[in-house]
Amino acid sequence: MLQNAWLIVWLPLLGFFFHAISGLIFKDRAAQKRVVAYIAPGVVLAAFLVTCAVLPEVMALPAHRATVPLIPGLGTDAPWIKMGGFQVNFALLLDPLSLLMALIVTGVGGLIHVYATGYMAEDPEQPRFFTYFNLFIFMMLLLVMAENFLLMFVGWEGVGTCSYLLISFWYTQVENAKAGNKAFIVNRVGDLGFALGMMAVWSVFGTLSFFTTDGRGVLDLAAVEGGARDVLGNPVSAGTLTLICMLLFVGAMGKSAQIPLWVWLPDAMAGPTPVSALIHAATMVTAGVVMVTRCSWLFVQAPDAMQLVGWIGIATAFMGATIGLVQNDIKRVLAFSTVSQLGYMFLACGVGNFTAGMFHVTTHAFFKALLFLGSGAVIHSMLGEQDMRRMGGLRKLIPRTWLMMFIGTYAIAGFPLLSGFWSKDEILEAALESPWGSGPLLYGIGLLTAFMTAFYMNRLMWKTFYTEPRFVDGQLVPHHHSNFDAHDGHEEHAHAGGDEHGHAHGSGKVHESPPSMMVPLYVLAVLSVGFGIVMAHFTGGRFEHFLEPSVAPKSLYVSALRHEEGHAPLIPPVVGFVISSVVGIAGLSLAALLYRQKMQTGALLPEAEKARNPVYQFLYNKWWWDALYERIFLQTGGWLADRVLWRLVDAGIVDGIVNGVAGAVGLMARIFRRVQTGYVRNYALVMLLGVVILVGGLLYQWSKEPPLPVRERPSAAGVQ
Amino acid sequence: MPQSPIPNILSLLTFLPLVGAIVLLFLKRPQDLPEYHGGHAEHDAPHAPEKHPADPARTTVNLVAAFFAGMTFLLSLVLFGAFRSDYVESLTRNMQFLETANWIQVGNITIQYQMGVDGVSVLLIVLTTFLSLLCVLYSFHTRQRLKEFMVFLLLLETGMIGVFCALDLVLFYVFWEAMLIPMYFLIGIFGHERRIYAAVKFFLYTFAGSILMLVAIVWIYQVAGTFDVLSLSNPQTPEGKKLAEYGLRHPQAMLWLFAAFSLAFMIKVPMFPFHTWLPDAHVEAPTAGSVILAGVLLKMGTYGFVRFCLPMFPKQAEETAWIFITLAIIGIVYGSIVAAVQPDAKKLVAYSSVAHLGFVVLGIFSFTQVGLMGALIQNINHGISTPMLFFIVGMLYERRHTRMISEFGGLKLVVPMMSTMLLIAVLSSIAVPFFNGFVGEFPILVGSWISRKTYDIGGYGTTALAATGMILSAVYMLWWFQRLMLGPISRPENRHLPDLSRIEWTVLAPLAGLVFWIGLGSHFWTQRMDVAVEMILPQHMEAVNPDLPIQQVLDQQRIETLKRRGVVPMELGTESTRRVPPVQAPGASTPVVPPGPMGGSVPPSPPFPGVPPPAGAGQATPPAPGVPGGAEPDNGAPPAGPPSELPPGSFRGAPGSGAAPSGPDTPVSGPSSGNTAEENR
Amino acid sequence: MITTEHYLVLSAILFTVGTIGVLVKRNPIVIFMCIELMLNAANLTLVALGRHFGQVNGQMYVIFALAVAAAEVSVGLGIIVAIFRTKETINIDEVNLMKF
Repeated sequence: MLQNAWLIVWLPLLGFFFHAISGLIFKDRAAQKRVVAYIAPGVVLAAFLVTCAVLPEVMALPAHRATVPLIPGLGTDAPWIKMGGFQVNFALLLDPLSLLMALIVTGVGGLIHVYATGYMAEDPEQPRFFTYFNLFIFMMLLLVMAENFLLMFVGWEGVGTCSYLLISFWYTQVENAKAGNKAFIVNRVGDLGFALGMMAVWSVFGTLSFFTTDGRGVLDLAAVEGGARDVLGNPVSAGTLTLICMLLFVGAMGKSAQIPLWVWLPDAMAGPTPVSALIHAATMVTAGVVMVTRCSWLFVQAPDAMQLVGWIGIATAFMGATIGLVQNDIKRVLAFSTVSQLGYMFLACGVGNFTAGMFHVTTHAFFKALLFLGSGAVIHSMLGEQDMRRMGGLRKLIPRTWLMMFIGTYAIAGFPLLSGFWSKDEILEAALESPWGSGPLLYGIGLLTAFMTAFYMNRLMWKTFYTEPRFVDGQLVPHHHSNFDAHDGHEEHAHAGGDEHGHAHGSGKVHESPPSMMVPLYVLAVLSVGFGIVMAHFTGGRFEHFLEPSVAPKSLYVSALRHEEGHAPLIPPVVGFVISSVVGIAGLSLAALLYRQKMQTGALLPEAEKARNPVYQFLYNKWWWDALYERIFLQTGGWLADRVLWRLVDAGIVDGIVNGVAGAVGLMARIFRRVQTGYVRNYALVMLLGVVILVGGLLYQWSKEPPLPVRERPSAAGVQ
Repeated sequence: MPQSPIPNILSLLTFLPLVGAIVLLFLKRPQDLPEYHGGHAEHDAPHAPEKHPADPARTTVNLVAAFFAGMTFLLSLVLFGAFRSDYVESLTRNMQFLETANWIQVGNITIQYQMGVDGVSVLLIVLTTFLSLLCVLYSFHTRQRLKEFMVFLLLLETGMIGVFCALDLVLFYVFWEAMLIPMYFLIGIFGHERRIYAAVKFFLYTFAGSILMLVAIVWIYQVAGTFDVLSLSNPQTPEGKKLAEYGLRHPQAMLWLFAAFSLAFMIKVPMFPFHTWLPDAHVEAPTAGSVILAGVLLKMGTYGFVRFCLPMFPKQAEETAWIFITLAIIGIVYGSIVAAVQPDAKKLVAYSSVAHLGFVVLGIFSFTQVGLMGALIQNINHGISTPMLFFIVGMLYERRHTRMISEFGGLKLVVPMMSTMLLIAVLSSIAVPFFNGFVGEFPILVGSWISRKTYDIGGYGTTALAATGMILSAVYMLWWFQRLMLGPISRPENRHLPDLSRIEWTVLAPLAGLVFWIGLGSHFWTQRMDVAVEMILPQHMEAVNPDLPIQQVLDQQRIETLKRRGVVPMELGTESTRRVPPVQAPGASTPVVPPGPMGGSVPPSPPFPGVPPPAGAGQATPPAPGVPGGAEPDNGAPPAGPPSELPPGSFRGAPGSGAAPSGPDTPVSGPSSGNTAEENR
Repeated sequence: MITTEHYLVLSAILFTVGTIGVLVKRNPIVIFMCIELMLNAANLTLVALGRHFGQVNGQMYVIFALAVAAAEVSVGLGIIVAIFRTKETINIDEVNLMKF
């Protein structure tokens, strides 16, 4: 099975091809949708099974690592690009990190696929959706299982492309298309850094492969005892490593929505909820963390880069949480929550505990997917309504959905013994022990962020489920998303009573979502509850132990900083647990207390005050980041491009010179043609002048030296 | 010399379209269909309400033109198949299928008819015939003067193939100029509103550059006594030696010669600031004209650099590389930014061409093999994605008779297939991996990163600035796609546009297929260019930044490749730009030469982190010195514990010199720095 | 004594008179007459110098020049007649269509 690991990657790809041509195969739209609804989750879950089968084989290998071909039959040295010394092959790397991520991608991805079959059931373009969705899984798997940087970059940009396609899935709304553009372009800025980092890596290490069988891969060279070596065997300077790591981290900043390239993620909520769950919570945005973890051997030798990672992580965590406090769209709250949690993961990586970061990636995948899918169920039940100001009282109406969201909220808030608690606590304690100092500061901000996380999540629960309903059940106005609603360009369509889906939605009543949507939630809920306690560091460290061969040991990092290892932690773990629990429960309780007093409105501040309150406006407008970018790039940049570069420079100066030359020729022609007066006498005069000059010149020359010898007149006798 | 199955295949390829054009002239002229209200002789819209009576003359002209274009394409495929990528010979280098004949002899001036292809030209020829065939197919529905249109297309094809095959300077010049005339007519007769202005501007601008090139050609003849490109490029021939020595004695004059050639090519590429003819020419040209212009004619500028400027004037090219790199980067950034604000779709694509070809020029003048190879494949890539874009814009123009982006919107609902094709073309232009643009752009950027030339200008920031083209291209392309295809249908006229017709499918599908074929399997295409690139950029000309470790690796690889091929590296009268690697100071660790695989000591597996290395086994082999001249003790190993030198394994850098397989104390002979052959493996 | 120089001076005077006539006069027939004058001045020079050097060449050239002059005048008069037919005037200042 090991040699057939390519199946993991190919199954979703084949799904993609099948769905792409499914329109040609099936004439009946309903049949097509039915088949697609089975094949799409099917291939992903099949890939999951293959991954499960491959896992024990890889763990049985001595180094827990294997390189297998990507294209069956061509071997691991099938070249993709081979130009003048630069060679990249099609191959896959199977090791704990890649298999962990493969399990998450195919497992959680498969569950989300199942969910999506329910969520997108009424959308006429469901086959196109699953085409892109399967393609995304393929690209994400390529990213995590790539044997070399460039193939990882393929997956990296591939998921960016799929993200673009899926965010702008309902493209008839211009905002969705613009959100897709924004996601792709901001990601691209990060990709620029990644690409430059790759070039730096190749120029120093001579290869882009992570590990090679002869020990010459980038990470092999980086892992040499005594310091990283370059391709010639010389030590690599810390400055070079720092440059490389910082460039790679720029890529991570873009993909994982860290400061300053995070602005695309909230807008990305314009896509369908399964997209938000899979791409913008569980998998694509964690790609940055995966990459940093994969390159941990490089990072641990570049302490400056680690500091950057850590600070950006905590800053983003804090910022995301503060913005999440005031958002009204249920998905936006979760989006900012994702930004914030990603910050935690980078914080963990920054202080050297990569396994803690990956642990949080895993638990976050579970509970964030749970939350997103749950919110999708809420939205589905509310016939498309996403604004929490118009929700309320849903606990009685959709109790099962409520329970799922409840579990997810408590998991992310860090309620004791749920998985979020374990992973978040590991990160906080690692931050406290930060080898580059500022431990207590990081810990403090981290706790504050955790408090805010708990607060805004429970705020979400209260606004959505516990407060009094701010709508009339039975008269919900559907806000369906689909490309074929707005035929006349209007936003809402005319038939509010019954819609083209033929559901009982015609009554406008809230009701639970179908089993295809609920069952994945149950599975994710179980994982959110149980995974942490089984795998945590303090309960046996199974996760850490599993992941060990793929990450640099902390000892390397610590030795790079010459930090003393082995002293007692600042706060004993048990105390840390208590503090985290207190903070989490405090956040949850505070939200409950405050909102209990606003059961009718569900809002702490009245609307009128919101507009006046500067703090509120600052938070609500995302710390003015978007406004700033818009001002700089769109407005100023647009003005610069149009007025200056195009009209002034290109059309004015450069083309002006060209046309000016032509004009000058024309001008001279207009002047010189006046010589042709048409008067014969003028011509005669000119001829005469010419002759005079010519003869004059000749005479002048002849006066200097005669052309012919002077001849004597012959005597008078010889002539008559 | 490999034999082609068809003798004189190159002349056949070049002149078959000409024969076709002549045959077409004798055919009966098809009925002109009435013009559109816009007054252009452009295409028939697929949903035209009137059905014109089937005109047998029209069908005949179409079939004959397609026949000749198709035969030429098939011939080029034969050429492609018969081309041997690994053939190299010291005089003719990688050139194959040479045809030589005395063409013009006046006194003792001989102008030869010499044609040949190497790895670079063979791909371009296939591209040319392919695009010409697509253009002929697409132009079947030209309403007015169909016969003349086809005649001009075929004449143009002759000129283009001739340019890529010609190996005599005057012959090259003749074909170069011969291309201008049919193109001028295509734009001037069949174009849009400002066609005369655009045609004249195109002609005069390009012509001005070529005239200077003609002067340079004559001057070269005075210096070297021949027009033959092969001998002029090879300093070991007497003529080439004359040229090289002239360059040493009169560097100023040589610089002017180089500048004259370069100017002609810079205008053609087009490089900033000589690019302003391109937007006008593209906008006003008919669709097939734009496709050929973008797909092939622009390639000739970069081809000219590679075929003439680099081989004949290597020293001048190296010295002035910074100018070209700077202009290329300006082109990338500037072209992209200006493209973003164009209201006219064709102008947008025209400026995008400036940006893309900026990348190509950057790759060429990075003086690295990676960069050059990337540039050459990006050349081809641009010849696929930009024609695709122009075809689609043309298709939209046929349906709506406007090129203004604001006139469209929400078309994905109406023409989903076209939208998908446009998306493929857009993603290819943006250089998303697995599309063809990526396998061109990324190696170019890699080459730029490791190049000494770009580093000298502004450090690594130069490459970073060039790479921002990645972001900028995404900006304008995606925004354009969104304004065109996404969003609601903003104008009622767009509601009922028909989707792709059969001919449009026939034209777009192969291009889309090529996008993925090159994107996924670039090795198939680039392997043909390996040898040609090595010849164009000999080792002494390569300018890899010597501060980077990869430089020595690449050097060694080249030496090994040359040894394997049996071709002695050429020496030149000019001085080498490659820095001699400094002698390793004692105390620094030196590259380890491994004991051979059949050696006695078993190389232990590399120590994985977390797994302690096997205690001492086999690690005590002292590393061999990196420079011939005695063994040096390795002082890099820490005094205790596991040694710090790299585990033995086959280094990519060190040539596999044979080692006496014995115990750890025998010093192993070091790798030579290249010129002495050692054969014992 | 009439020396060769006298002839040369005479011919120079004739030439100058003819030139001024060509430049100043408006009537093409008069212009032709002045051209004839210039030609004959040249002829006179040739004959005089031929006599001066004792060779027949000068007179030979004159014969040729006379023949050419005759031919040229006939053509020119034909052109004048043709112009007069279309333009009703032979004032050369008014025959200026070949201008910018």
